[in-house]
Amino acid sequence: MNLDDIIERINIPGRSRTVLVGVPLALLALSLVIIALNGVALGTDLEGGTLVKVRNIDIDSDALQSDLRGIFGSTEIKVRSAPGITSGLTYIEAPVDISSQQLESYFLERYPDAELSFSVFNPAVSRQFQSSAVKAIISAFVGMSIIVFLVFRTPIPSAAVVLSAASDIGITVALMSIFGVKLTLGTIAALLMIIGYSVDSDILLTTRLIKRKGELSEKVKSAMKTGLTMTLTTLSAMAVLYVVSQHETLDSIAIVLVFALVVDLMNTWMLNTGILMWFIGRQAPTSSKRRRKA
Amino acid sequence: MSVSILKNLRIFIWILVLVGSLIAINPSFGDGFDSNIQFGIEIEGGSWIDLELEGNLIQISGSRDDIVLHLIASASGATLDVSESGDDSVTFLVEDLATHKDALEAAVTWATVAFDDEAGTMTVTVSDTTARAQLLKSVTAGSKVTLISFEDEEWFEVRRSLTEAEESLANDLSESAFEDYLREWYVERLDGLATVDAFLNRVSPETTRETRDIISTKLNYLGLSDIPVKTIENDRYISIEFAGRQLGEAEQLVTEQGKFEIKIVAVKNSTGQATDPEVDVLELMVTGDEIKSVDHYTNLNSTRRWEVPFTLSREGAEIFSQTVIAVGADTAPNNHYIVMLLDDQVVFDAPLSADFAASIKDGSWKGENLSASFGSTDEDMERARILWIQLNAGALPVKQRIIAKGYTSPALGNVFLQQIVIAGIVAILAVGVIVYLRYRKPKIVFPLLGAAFSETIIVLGIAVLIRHQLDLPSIAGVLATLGTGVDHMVIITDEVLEGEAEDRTSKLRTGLSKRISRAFSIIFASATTTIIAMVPLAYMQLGTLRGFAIVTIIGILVGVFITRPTYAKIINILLGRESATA
Repeated sequence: MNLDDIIERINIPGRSRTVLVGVPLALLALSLVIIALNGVALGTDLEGGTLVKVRNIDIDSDALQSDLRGIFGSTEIKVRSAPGITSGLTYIEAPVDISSQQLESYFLERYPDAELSFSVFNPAVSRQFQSSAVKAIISAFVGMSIIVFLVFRTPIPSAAVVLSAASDIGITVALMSIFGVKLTLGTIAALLMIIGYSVDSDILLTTRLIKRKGELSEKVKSAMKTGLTMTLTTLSAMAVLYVVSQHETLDSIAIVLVFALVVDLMNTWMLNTGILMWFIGRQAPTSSKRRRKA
Repeated sequence: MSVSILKNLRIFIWILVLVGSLIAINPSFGDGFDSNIQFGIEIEGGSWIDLELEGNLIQISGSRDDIVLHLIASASGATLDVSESGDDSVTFLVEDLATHKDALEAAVTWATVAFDDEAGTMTVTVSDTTARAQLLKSVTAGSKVTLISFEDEEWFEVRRSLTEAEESLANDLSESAFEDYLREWYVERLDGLATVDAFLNRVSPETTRETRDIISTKLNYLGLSDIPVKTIENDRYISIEFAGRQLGEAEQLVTEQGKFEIKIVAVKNSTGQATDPEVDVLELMVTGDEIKSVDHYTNLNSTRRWEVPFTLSREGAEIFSQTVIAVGADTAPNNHYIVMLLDDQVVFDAPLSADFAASIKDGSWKGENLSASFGSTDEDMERARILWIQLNAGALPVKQRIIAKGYTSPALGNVFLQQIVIAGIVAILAVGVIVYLRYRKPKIVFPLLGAAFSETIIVLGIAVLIRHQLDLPSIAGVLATLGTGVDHMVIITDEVLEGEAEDRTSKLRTGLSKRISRAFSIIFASATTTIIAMVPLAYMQLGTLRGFAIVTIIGILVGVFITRPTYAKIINILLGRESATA
């Protein structure tokens, strides 16, 4: 089955505008509720605490967890093994009051071949990171919005691009909340990358639809052909990264982008396309030449 | 003809940049992979430490006269009343001036005073700023207070250290709540004499940079010249990376101070002028802990001798004086050498001066005006510098505390790197498969992959040239640009292909260059947007995210100006020929 057949079968231009716009918006609303109720777990860099990554130890996660909890007397110690095909990496998260030196010697005494990596973040600096990160996301988003408005100079299509990017981030964060992917400096980098990928496909769509001549449904289909190829290539690269890498930073960046790109497919080709088709349809009967009226 | 040269010029520039990048990276595969790329500590292996410096920035306002009155009255016990207030001086009527005169003189070390015995008044020449600074100093038990400029405003920097209880409070409270706590602390202590107008729980950027330099100089002195010490988060924290070192060792290097001792020769057994610590009986007086402050090493104008001035704490001065008197050095100063030792090596050795002995004897010396002096040669300067560093290591301008740290074993870092390389290669292959399925033309797939791959190499080459350290978020940035690079080349390809389709179906021909420029209008719009989104991050200096933003910006610029135009040319040449033969 090739891309043309898929695009024909999905038949976005033939669908109801209400459904195209309504479904993503409903999902966004649901996402915001999920985030509000469930919250998003913070990684040790944003919450404070110790994260240990260890390899070459001959024990399974559950046994290690109960042993560590017993020895250090803290039920807050969490152990899990890394996803990925080349298994063997174990993550341990501990609260900040447990000494990293003691954790290190625990492993080196019992497992002389252990290869360790650990990082300790004091809660004070984590909170500093948090507020900086929030500022970073807001300023990136505002900067992006300004450029989008400057490029298109028409309020509704510009707003559609910005809404679509916001929705990408919102729904992705909700998916992180559901699947327990933690918010870290790495996943914040991923959320910022989403802004880039999201506007890529949206700008393609908007330019093709409002700046080109031709029949609307054909323009949508042709834009989809390019856009789907773009998203699928990036999606495949990120899926590979997720499977191959075991490093938490890269892993979490990869999985967040996989979520985001799937979400972006919906937001670009339903939400944004729906809004644009409605916008163009509304303008067409009254003024076919002037588009800057709205 | 000129058009084809221009085409070739594009390709020529691209090849030049690519080769330049490869030379910069200088990869070698002899004994495992090696290159000029500087990886972050999590890949390289080693440890890192982030330090916070304790201190506050504060703006206060209050009546100068009230403040000065309070300061003098509480330090001297005299009863005063403001009789006259001028722009830069204030006159007080003092009850029973004659009795309190000495106490008053001793109480005001921070301004000039003049007495009028007949009128029974005391005039203090003091600026508004000095009065407020002195008030802050007195409520923080003598912390150093300086007037600094931060973000175009004047602040007092108070080098107030946290107590242990406050340090744990800092960990429990949110940042703003802890700042509120400290602010309240000041409001309470200032007791209505002055109001707190603004407060920040941080030291000035200058102080952070000064501390960074001292740490860096100390590490250099210890022979660790390649350890990067930098400030992060708007010069708020100091971040140090120790490639290949254990964390314990790294912590020791940062926090440990040289052992500094001042001893006095109680019984001299050796012959000759110099003291011989092996033979002579030395009495320990004070150690580096008793040194309250150290000034920068200087070269005395009069003697050309290098010296390190320092001041002892009050307790240190007391022990010093008691020991001098106990060994009888106050009566025979010339027979008693003062010896300063750094890590058990004698760095200073000279007899106690008669003047100094006298001031110890009459109790007027309180620990000030000490200095270790050396000769006038360059070697002496180096010795003075080392002593200065070592004394400062224990007495950094402000108290430091470790707020984040980490370690990665080199073996594990290597595993991470291997996974990244494998992931990169497999990701490019996966992209290749998708692109092939879509276009089914090797003439498109190979140039596209080649351009994407070359883009990655050029980005890495530039990273090497600007000495950017590739930490994990930076590597994510490289992947991000790879992703947008492929996206944009798909846009170019589709514009070119679609144009061809139009050419066949309609008489209305859209020129090749027009099609390309249509693609580039989309690419420029989205590239600008992404760069604008990244710029604040690059400026925000949020340690790790900064690297990500910088690499992403470099990648997008390289893509827009070098690889994507080249790809457009190549694909044009290849597909142009194809449509000509079809």
